[in-house]
Amino acid sequence: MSIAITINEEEFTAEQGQTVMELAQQHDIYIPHFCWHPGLSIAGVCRFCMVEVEGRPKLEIACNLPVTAGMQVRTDSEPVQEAHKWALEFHLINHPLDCPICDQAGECGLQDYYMQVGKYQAQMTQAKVLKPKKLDVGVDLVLDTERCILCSRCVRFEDEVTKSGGLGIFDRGDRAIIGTYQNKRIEHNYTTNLVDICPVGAFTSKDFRFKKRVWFTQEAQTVCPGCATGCAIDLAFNADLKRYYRIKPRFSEVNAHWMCNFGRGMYMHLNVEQRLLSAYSAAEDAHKPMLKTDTAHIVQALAEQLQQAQQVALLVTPQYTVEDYRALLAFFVGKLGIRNVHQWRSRQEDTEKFDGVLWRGDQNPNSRGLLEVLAEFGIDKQQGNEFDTLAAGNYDLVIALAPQVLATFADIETDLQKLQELPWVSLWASAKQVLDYRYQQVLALTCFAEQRGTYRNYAGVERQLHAATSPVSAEIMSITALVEKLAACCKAQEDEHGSS
Amino acid sequence: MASSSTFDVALQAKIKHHLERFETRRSAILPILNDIHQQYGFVSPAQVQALEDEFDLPRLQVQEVISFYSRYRQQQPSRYHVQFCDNIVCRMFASQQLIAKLKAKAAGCAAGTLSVEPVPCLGVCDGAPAMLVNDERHLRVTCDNLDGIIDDYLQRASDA
Ligand code: SF4
Ligand code: SF4
Ligand code: FES
Ligand code: FES
Repeated sequence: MSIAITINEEEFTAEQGQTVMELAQQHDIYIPHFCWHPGLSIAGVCRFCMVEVEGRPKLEIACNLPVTAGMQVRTDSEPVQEAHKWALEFHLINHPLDCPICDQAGECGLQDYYMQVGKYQAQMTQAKVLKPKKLDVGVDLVLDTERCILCSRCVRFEDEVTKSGGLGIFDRGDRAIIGTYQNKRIEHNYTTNLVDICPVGAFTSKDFRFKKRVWFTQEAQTVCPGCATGCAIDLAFNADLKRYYRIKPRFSEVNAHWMCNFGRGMYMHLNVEQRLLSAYSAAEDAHKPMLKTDTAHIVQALAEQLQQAQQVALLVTPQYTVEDYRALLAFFVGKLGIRNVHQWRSRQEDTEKFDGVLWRGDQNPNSRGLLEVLAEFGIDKQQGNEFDTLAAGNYDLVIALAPQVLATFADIETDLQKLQELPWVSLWASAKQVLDYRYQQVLALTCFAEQRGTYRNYAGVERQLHAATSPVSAEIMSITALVEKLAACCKAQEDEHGSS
Repeated sequence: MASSSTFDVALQAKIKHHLERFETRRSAILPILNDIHQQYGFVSPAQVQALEDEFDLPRLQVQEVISFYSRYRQQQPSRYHVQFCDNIVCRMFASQQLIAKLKAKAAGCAAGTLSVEPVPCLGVCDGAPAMLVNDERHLRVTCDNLDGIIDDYLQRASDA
């Protein structure tokens, strides 16, 4: 049943059971809050979300105020503003206000509100209560208990989302302190969400803290490539420096407000020191390291090998986009009629595994997408690792798409080793690590942060990638661009043969 | 229930009873802690752990409650633990001097016999200055009768 109410004299239709906070949020009316979080239960403890309701003598908290017919709400009246001011002053009584050395600065609720509605002249004259400032309470977590405003979001996350119940509030009054039982560490794959939801700098991330002030980063809305779930993420980077700093979850139906710690690491392999920055070809002495060569030459050499080869195979990992697979298969399968396509997957994966929250044992973001595109080209396959059948094929050319995230393939070294024993391999990859091996040639690919495209997650839901930056080097190309170049080369060769 | 429980049979039965009494198990924490405290005079970390292991009450939630209420002791108190009021009315009746006197007396006793703790108003201001020796209440304590009251207890201790 829908209900008519007004907020700041504007009319809205609300659903029965909705709270004023939810309705306001839905219509982009901002009500300041600390303890309310759309993914957690209502606690109503920070008393910051005060609104005025016509006909009620006292201000009410919007987060726990169900809409009723004809309700007239004000979020901007003088009593409301005054309440914010004093609630903030209250929260700041024992807060250290150490923003200059706090990693949360720039994305801190307390700091933002202070700039908006702070009293600027504190009226407390007593000394602040001091508490432990640098507790190691778990994976990726540093806890500064002085900065905590006791909103209990983290406690509810532990109780409701991961159901691990690791956090509590001990003691009472101004000695009340957030913590774990006897400072035990919280060890699960979702701890960094605590850093995200903590509205202040009490929880900070070991990995991210002091690396970059947040106002020097931009965010790209893209998708985690860490597993078949495909969580929506904000990837923080600095475009001028072409550096990536961290990953935070972004709300989507698939992952709600959360993501796993493993997925947070998906920015590391994007940075320049881990990347393959140009194409390489085998040295004359095949035991020597490969030599840097420009991409045009390598593609030319590949086109020639394609012409000569009797048996050609594609070896494809499920870590690229649907669009890239289409471009790849349109050329190799559609145009050249090559039908030897092998899936390359981790040997030790357990694709059935699911941790009950988000993370899946299928650590490829596009297993389904790959199978679907293969089917479009008349190649029907089941999901499975076909790496080991490669050797038996007697191929004189193998074009291999390496995993983007080498860490998701438990035996990647064995595979890369075995691959170099084959007669002629063109390896397409984005990680520098492949240079430890010797192949006929290596081509440098873009990574997920440098391109648009689509993954299909475990349930078949489309997950859309958006580019953050241009590639870290000019020699780096997407699969689609490489295939185009290769096709052009092949065409030129044909024309030459035709005319001679 | 394992026979090797941290709690005796009667206490186990009480704990079980409380756990069934309320809508949520969490609500039973307070009465359970009261019973344990009553019996032992304190709640130890081992007992908190036992509540988790034997009764599936999360130790973290139990500890939250214990730390919230300063009346719960977490260590074994002395044989005679004096809680002396040092709030306003008792203070006007010299509670501070009495507390100092008691502290000096406690220091002269064997370890673990006598201890003193200043506490807020005991709610018997009309009988100020007031103190509790373990659970027994003494009103209108004076410099003259204090020694006698405490010595009675100490005598009992040495008789036992
Ligand atoms: S640590 Fe952060 S999330 Fe947890 S109660 Fe304190 S302020 Fe809230
Ligand atoms: S659950 Fe999967 S998709 Fe989501 S953050 Fe973790 S690894 Fe990435
Ligand atoms: S957001 Fe409503 S009381 Fe905290
Ligand atoms: S002031 Fe001592 S009992 Fe109230």
